[in-house]
Amino acid sequence: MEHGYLAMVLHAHLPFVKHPEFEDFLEEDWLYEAITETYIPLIWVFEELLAEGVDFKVTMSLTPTLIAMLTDPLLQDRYIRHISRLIELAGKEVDRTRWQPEMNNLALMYFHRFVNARRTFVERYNKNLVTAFKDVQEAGKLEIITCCATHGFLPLMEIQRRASVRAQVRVGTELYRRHLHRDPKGIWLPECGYNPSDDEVLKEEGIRFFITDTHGILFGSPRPKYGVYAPCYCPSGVATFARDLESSKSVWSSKEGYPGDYHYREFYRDIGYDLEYDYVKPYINPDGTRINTGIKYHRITGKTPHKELYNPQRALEKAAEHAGNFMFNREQQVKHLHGIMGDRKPIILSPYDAELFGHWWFEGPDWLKFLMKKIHYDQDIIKMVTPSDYLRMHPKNQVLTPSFSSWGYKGYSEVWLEGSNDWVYRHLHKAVERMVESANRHPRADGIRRRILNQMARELLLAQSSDWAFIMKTGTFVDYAVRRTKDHVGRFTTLYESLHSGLLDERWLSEIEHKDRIFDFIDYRVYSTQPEGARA
Amino acid sequence: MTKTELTKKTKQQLLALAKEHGLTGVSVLKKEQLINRLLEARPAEPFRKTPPQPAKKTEAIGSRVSPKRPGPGRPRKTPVGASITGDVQSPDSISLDKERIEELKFYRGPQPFEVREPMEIPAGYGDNRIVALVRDPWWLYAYWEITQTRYNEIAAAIRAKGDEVSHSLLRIYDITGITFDGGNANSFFDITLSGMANNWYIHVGQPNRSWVIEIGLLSTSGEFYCLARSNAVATPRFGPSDVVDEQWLSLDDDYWQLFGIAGGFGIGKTSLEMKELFEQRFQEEISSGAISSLFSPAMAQLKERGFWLVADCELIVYGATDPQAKVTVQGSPIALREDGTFTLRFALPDGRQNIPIDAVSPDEIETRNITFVVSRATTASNTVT
Repeated sequence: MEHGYLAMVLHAHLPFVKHPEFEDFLEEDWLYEAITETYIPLIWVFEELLAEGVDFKVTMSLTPTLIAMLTDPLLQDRYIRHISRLIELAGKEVDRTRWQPEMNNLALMYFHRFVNARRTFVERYNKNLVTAFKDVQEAGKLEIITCCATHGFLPLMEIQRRASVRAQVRVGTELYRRHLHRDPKGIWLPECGYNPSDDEVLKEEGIRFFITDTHGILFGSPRPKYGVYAPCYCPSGVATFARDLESSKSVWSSKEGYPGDYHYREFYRDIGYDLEYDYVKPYINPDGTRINTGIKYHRITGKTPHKELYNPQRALEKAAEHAGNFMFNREQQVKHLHGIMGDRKPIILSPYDAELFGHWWFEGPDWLKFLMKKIHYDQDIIKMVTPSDYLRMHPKNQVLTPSFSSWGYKGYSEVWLEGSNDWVYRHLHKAVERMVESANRHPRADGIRRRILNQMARELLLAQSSDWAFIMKTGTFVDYAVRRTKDHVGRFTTLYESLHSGLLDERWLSEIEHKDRIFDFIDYRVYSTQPEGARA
Repeated sequence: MTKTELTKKTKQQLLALAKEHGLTGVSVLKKEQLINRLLEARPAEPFRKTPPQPAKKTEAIGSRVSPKRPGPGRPRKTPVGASITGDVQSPDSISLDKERIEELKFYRGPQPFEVREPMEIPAGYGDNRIVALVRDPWWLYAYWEITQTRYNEIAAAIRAKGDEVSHSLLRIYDITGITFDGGNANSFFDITLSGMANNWYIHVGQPNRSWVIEIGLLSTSGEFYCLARSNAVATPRFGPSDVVDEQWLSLDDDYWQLFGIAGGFGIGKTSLEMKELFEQRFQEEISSGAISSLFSPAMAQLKERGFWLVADCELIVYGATDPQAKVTVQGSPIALREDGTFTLRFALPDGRQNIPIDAVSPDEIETRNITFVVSRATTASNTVT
C-alpha cells in the first residue's frame, strides 16, 4: 500500500505566433522546435508506456494558444516544411561526417529522429498533435488541464479584474472543449500567478482546481495544516495544489539539477553556429543570421569552452540513474511526510515547463519515461496521480485563502513588472476598460459592428500574453515582443475608435482578422458586466 | 523643411542645423540618422513632421517612411497629457538623446522580420487617473495620467486660497482594515515627484497591508490637494498566517517541519531562518525564468570567454561524368545531378584519407578511376604576450 502520491505536471505553452503575411518568420520556429524536440518526444514516451502497459499518470496543461497553433493548417504545413528541411540537413550531415564515425552516428541519430518525427506528425496524427495528447487522456493516463486564453498574467489585471480574468478563463476553457471534447477540470494559472478572489471566477467557469507556487498555500490563511502536501479549498470551493520545491529543485536548478550533468547534451553548441556559413545557410534564418538548427554534437563536458562529443548511450544511462535518484528521494520524502502528517497521505506535486523536457534538457523525455517505469515496476511507496484523482480519493480538505503569488523569479510580479515592461499596463488596462464599456454599450451587435467587437476582444487577449513582458525582460527578441504589444494595442485602439466614428476600412478589418486569427468562436460579450450580456 | 530638402544638405550643414535646434549628441550619427533626428525634433522647430495621431493610421499604409520611433521597449518616461509640475519641456527631446545613442550602438542593420513600423499606440488617453499594482510584499508600482486641465483646475483652487503650488507628490495611505474616505487612513507617507515621472516604484516595506495612493499637489503652506486617487491594493503576506483553524489544528513544530521540507531546506531551523531561506529560494533559477531558451540566443555562452579562435577544415570533392553513369566514392554509391556533375563535402579529420572515385559507364563496359590521397595534421598553440 502506498504511503503517498506524486503528481508530475508539465506546462506546455508557447505564445501565439503566426504570420501568414510572410513566407518565413523566425519566431514561428519556437513552435517548430518545440514540436520536434518536446511535444513529439513526449508523445513517443506516452506511446511506449501505453504499449508496454505501464500504469503511469501525468498532468499536462496545453495552453489555448498552443492548441490553436497545433491545430492551425498553415502552421501544420509549415512544420512539415521545417522538418523536411531538417531531414535534408541531417542527411547531408550523415555524408559529411563519414570519416568521423562517432559524429557520424550522431548525425544518423538526428536523421532518424527527424524522419520519425515527420512520420509521427504526418502519418500517425494527420498533422494534429492535439489528438495525440487527447488519445492519452482518453486512455486515462494523462489529465490535460487548460490555461488562460493567451497566458495573461492575472495578478496585474487590476482594472476591470473580474471581466478581464473571466474572459481569459472562459475563452481558454471554451477552446479546450472544442478540441478535447470534454470539460477541463483544472487550470494552470499563467506563471502560477494567483490573486486572491480570482478563484471565484474559476468557480463560475466550472474549474475544480488550479496550481499555485509553494508560498501560495504555505502563506495562505488560516495556516495550512499539511503545508503544501495536501490541496486546500479556496473559500469559493475551488481546490488548489501547490508546488513542492524539493522535487522542483532537482530538475530546475541550473546548479544542482540533473540537466546540468556533464554527460548530457550541450544546448549551446549547434551546427547552425559551428559549421561553415555557406553550408548551413539554407537552413538558418533567411536573412542570413545564424540560428539553432537542433543538430548538436557535444555534451556539456564541464565548465569549459572545450566540449567533448556526445555519447547518447552514456547519456541514457545517466537519465536512468537520475530517474532512480528522483524516485528514491520521493520515496524518502513521502515516508517522512507520512510520519508527520499521520492520518493523511501526502501528495507531492512537481510542475515543470514542458519545453524544459527535450528542448532544453534533451534527455528529459527519457528521464520521464524511466521514472514512470521505475515507479510502476520497482516500488510501492508512491503512487502516481493527477490532481483530479487525488480530489476523488480525498474530497475533504482544509479551506483557506491562498496568498498572492507566482512562480516567477522572486515569487511575485516582478518579472512582468519592471523597468523594461511596466509601460504596457497602462495600455492593457485602458483596453480592458474600453472593451467592457463597448460590450456593455452594444449588448446585441451584429454585422460589421459585431466583427469589430469580436476582433477587439482578440486583439486585447493577444496583447495580454505574459510572454511579451517576459521577453522584454530577458532581452532577446525584445523588438518582436514590443512590436506585438504595440500592434495589438494599436489595432485594438483603431477598432475602438472606429466603433465611435463609424469609419472603418473594411479591407483592413479583414486583413487583421486574417493575421490575428485565433478563437474563431469568440463572443465579445464575455467582457460584458451587465447581467444580460454576461449570461449570453 | 522636408526630408528631401534635408537630404540635399551636407552633413556639416545638418550638424549646424541640429545645433541651432538645440539637439545634442548628434555628432556620432550617420547622415540618414541625423536627418531622422531633425525630422523628429520638437515643436519649436519649423519643419516638424505631422504631429503623431495616436493609432489613427491603418496598417494599409505599410511603407510609411517616418523616422524610427524612440526606443521600442523602453518605458515612456515622459508625462502624458501634461507635465504635472508645469514644466513645459517637450517630452522626448533632450532626455532621450543618450538613450538613442545607446540604442544605435546595438543597431545591427535593418529589422530582418518586418519592414513595417509597429502600430502607433496612444501616448495618453486624456484621463485623470492613477493605478496601483502589487509587485511583491514590499513594493507597489503606480502609473498615472493627469490632464493639463485637471492640473490647472487644482492649481487655480490653490491660488484662490491665496496659496501657491509647491510641488507634486504621491501620498501613500495605509488603509488596512478600514473603508477609506480620504481622511481616515491608519497612516501615510509622501514621495516627492520629479517633473518627468509618470510612474513610480514605491517601497512600502510592509507585507499584508492594504494601500491607496493619491497623486496630488502640495501647496507652499503644506496643504495637500488630490489630483487622482488609485484603486486599493494589498501587499501579500510574507510568512505563515497567524490565523489557525481549529478544525485543522497543527502543532507548531509540525508546521515548521513541513515548511522546511516544502522549501527544500530540511528541518530544525528557526522560523526566522526559514523565512530568510525562503526568500533566497525565490531567487534561484527554479522556475519558468530559468528556461527562456526558446527565446535565447544560442551563442550567449561564447561571449563569456574573452578572446577565442575556432577553426576547422573540410574537404570538397567534385566532378562530372555521363549523367547515366554509376559513380562510387570510397565504395559508396553517390547521386549525380541531372547534368552529371557531383559535389561531396566531408569533415576532414587529422590523418590520411584515400578517396577513390570510380565511374562505370551507362552500358557498363568502361570504367574510370580517380583517387585522391589527402592528409591533415593540426597544430594549435595559445600565447599571451
